[in-house]
Amino acid sequence: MFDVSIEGIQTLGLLIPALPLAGAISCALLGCFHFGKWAPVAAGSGVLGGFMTALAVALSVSHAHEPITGTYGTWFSIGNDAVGWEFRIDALAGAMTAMVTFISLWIVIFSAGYMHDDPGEGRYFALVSLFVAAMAVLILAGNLFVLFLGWEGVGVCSYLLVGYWYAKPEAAAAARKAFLVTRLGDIALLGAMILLGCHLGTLNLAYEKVFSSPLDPQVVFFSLVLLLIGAVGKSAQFPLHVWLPDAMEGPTPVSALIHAATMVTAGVYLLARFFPGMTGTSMDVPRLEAVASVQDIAGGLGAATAFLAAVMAVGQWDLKRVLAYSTLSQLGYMFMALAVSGDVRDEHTPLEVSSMAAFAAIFHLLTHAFFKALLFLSSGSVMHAMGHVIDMRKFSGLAKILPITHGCFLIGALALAGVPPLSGFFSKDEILIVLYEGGHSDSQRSAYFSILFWIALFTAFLTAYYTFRAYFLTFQGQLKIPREAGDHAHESPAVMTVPLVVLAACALLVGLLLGPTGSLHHFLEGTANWKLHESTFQISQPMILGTVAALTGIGLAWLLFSRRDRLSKPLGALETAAEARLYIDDIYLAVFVRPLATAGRAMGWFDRDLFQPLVELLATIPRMIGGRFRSVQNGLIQFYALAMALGLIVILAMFTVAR
Amino acid sequence: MLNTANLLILLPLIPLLGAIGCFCLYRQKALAVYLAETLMLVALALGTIVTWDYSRQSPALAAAERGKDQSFTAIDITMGRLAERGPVVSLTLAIDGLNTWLVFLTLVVGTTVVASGSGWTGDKAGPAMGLILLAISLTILAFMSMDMLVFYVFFELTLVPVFLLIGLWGGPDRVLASQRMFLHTLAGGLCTLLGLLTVAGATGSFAWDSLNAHRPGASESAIDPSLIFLLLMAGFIVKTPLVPFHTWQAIAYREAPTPITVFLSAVMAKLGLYGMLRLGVYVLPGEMESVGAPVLGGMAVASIVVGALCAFGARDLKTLLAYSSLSHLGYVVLGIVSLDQAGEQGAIFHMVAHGIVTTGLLLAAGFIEESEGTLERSRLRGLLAKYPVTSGLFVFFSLASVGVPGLSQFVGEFLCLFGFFRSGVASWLGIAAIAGVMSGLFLGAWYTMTLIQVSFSGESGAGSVPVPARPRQLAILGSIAVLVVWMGMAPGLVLETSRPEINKLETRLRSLSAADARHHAVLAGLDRAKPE
Repeated sequence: MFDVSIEGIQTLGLLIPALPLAGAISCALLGCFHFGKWAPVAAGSGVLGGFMTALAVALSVSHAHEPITGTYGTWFSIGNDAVGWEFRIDALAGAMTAMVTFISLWIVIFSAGYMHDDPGEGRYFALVSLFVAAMAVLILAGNLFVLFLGWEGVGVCSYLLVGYWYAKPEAAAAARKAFLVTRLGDIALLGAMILLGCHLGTLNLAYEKVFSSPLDPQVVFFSLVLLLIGAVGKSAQFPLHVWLPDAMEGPTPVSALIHAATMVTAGVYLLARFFPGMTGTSMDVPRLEAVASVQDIAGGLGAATAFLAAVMAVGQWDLKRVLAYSTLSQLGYMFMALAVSGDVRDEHTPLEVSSMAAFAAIFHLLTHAFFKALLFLSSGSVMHAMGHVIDMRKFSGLAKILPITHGCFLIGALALAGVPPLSGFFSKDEILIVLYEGGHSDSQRSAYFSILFWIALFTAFLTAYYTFRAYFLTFQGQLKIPREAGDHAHESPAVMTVPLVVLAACALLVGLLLGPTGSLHHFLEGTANWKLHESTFQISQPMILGTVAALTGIGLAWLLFSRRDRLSKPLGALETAAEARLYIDDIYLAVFVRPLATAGRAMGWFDRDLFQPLVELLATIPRMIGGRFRSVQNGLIQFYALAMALGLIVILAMFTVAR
Repeated sequence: MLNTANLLILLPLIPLLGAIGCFCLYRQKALAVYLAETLMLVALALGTIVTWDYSRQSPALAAAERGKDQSFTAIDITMGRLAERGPVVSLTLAIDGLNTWLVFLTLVVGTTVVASGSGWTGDKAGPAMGLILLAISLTILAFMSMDMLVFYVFFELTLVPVFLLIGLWGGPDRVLASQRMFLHTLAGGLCTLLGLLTVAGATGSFAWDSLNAHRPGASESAIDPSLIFLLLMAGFIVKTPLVPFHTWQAIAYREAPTPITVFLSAVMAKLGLYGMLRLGVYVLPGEMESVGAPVLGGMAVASIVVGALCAFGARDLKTLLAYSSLSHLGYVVLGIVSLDQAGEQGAIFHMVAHGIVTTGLLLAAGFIEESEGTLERSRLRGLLAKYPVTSGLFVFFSLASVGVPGLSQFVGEFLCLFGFFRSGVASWLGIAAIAGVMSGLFLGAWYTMTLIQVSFSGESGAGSVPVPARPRQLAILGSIAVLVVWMGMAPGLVLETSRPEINKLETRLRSLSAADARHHAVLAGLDRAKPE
């Protein structure tokens, strides 16, 4: 499509993070000099530039079957081991950066309205732009160190943006929780880097080198487990999922961008690179077995998250939290897809099976980014009108006063539920098919994949149910407006509704354009270390089952919430438990958080009030023995100093005399 | 072109002259402060030129043939013998790969300490500035000494000005704090002196180089070399400090005036680590491997965990930062005991990085203290709303200190850990040590983020107006922030400087008889990293 030389692509690749970074620096400077109201313009131009370059890169690399490596210098080196500023640009990276910068652009525009007149505008837009730059670095990274830079960079931006309203105690607590829980995963990722570095004998952890080096299957297993833990932390999968719902304390556009569309999908992206990459073209059974067992764990965690988060979403009253749990659940879906591994006896090679699984996960990642960003921005528009109230018990029937927001939310909800022909339908279907085919293959894991398939199907039903529960509670029924909204509850200004409409159009069409036409499949064939086999779109059993599950869920929500007592708990005790997040947060608090804090305080006390006095006591023993020299120990600091100085002079004099 | 080596002698000399000047200006408070600031800026400028010049030549020297003198020597005077046929003592001051950036660090920290304000000195600014300049000068002399005994003398002498500064200008418990620090470090230091005399008695010289050539203690001395090693290390363990010899640290850091805490934590703790590196790794590498790895490594792991837990429980900000220092320097010790190229270079890098970041943290805390009047954690609330700039920079330095890549600490911490694992010391120490080290990475973030949540976030209280940072404070913290980003994004210059010296270590390790398998592993690790 685009004919750009390799050098050109390398330069453009560097510009993808560089332009938003320049935007971030400009925003920070504007903020410092009290021109904060111009920050949206600076951020918007930086991100727009990033989007243009990302699009150019995506279009020009799509047909290159070799990834393009750009090395922009050395970060640090030990002996001959150099860790380079290395990017690896291929179709997947192109598609991901294009998606991220596109959504960021509309979210920056939305924020210009949403954050209007906030005193910290400069800081806000600087951090959002910095986030886009870090996310681009994460996606384009050519080695694990550069990946880690982006990985931690997005984490820090997320931390600072969740705690953006730092005067709010909930926001500060949520920011700390987000940082610490993801930190657990980050340490695992660091551990994987150390493990791989020690066994490859080098700090040069370029993907190509990691994938192509012969490694002991045990090392493959443990390094992938560590990478998986990292992904689980970042993508908020069970059991490290607790930070994401709390992170909703940040500004809503941030929830849309970071905690729904982009950063939280980094774990999926990492595994979509590493599972097929580590499988490789080899037919070495122990190695394949090592990779497949890690994929099994990923699938198990994904299934647990998809199901549990969907259950938790059923009982939430906070609109943004419903969406947050649904994000967890959908990310669990992607993890489930990644679980599908091949078998040497299959007609498709293990690499082909893993690649198809990764493709399904990435397809869902892309469509999910559009409709989930849409849903979050719509809920932001609701919040904007409702005076920052987000409890669904306090408002209803908003369809009448927020017509555009209502229409956009409905499109997002239908897409999330997986109703044909919206985007979520096609990508969810792809995941169901991958699981279904895994269940009917000759693989020894086929029974496991079948179980995953049925969990996915049931989760699809729950998804449709809780999404439309939220929809009916918010937009249908009698008009009710909270006091905080005042009497001027109205539709948001154009700067906020235009992004909604654009994203709604994407949520409507992206699936249809990318899925059944095979264009995304064709585009991602160029992804490095992937090998996609031919597949054609056809109506199949999983697709019908998935559609039935979605429609059943919507129907049930309609029955329960469109007419009856709106605040009932139709599911009784289960709903109470779901509202309390299945008590997982409370268990963590009791088992980990509080004991650790107690240990810290006890240690501090022990060190200050017990250990130090004990040392003092030991020190009195020689003092008692040397009682006769007590007169020397007169406690006068000046005397000690004088004695010391004199002693040293004597020593120095000795040398000179001895000479 | 001017030979920068000629400037070298000015680095310790300028602060020393400044100290004398400040003592003479006993009654002229403003003039003494002005003199100290001007001279430190001059010294820093000269130091930057010398460091820059040396660092840029260092990789080239590494490529040149080994054995060639790779250091800049400032002065080389033979002073005499300790006894009639005893070891020679010489006053040799030089910079090489190991100490160049530590000298630079001392100048940076010294300048910021002097420039950060003299409100704490009361009406005795002259003597206080004089003592600080004396401490700076003595520290630089200690870092530059190429003779063990001279190093030891300066190493111990640095204690005197700091002891006086705490004792005369410290908090309510200053006498206890200064005495405790003095007695602890002196006790450790005397053990080191004993060790030094034994080693020198065996080799006939106190110079590092001659010590490198011999293997002391093996045949000549009847005393067990591992005992000599532990004696030598005792002073450094206490100075750094490491658990369980850290009991002087928290109270001393807390009671010292904040600029002195900065100096203690950022620079003087590094003297201990530098001693471990120079004496432990270079003079007794065999013992460092057999005794140092379990003893120092074990203490380092304990320091990492205990320090982090205590930091959480600390009642005031300075104590918290003291424990945080204890915890972070544990990683440097892991790098030192690894005897691995990545570990050693990372250890030196991490010393400098930690010095810079901890200066930023403590100075920001000090600026907050000036306005708040306290650093008690129970009374610090909503600092970000009250002091947006200073607190914002504190948060920035905190992120650096938890090891966010792109900021200075990450590279050092990673390389120390990498060396620790690659050399096999980690697997040798066992799963508990590995768990401790890795959990330390989490615990560090845990107490830092808790501090930010509780003390920095939240409402500022009714009616309070944000206080902007003063231009001087902003300039100091801003320049430190620039250094933090520079060291994180372009660590090459600092990291590469130590390469030639670390390569010498390789030669030295080769010359030792390699008995056990782990030793071979170390050599294999160096082989892989060896330049072609």
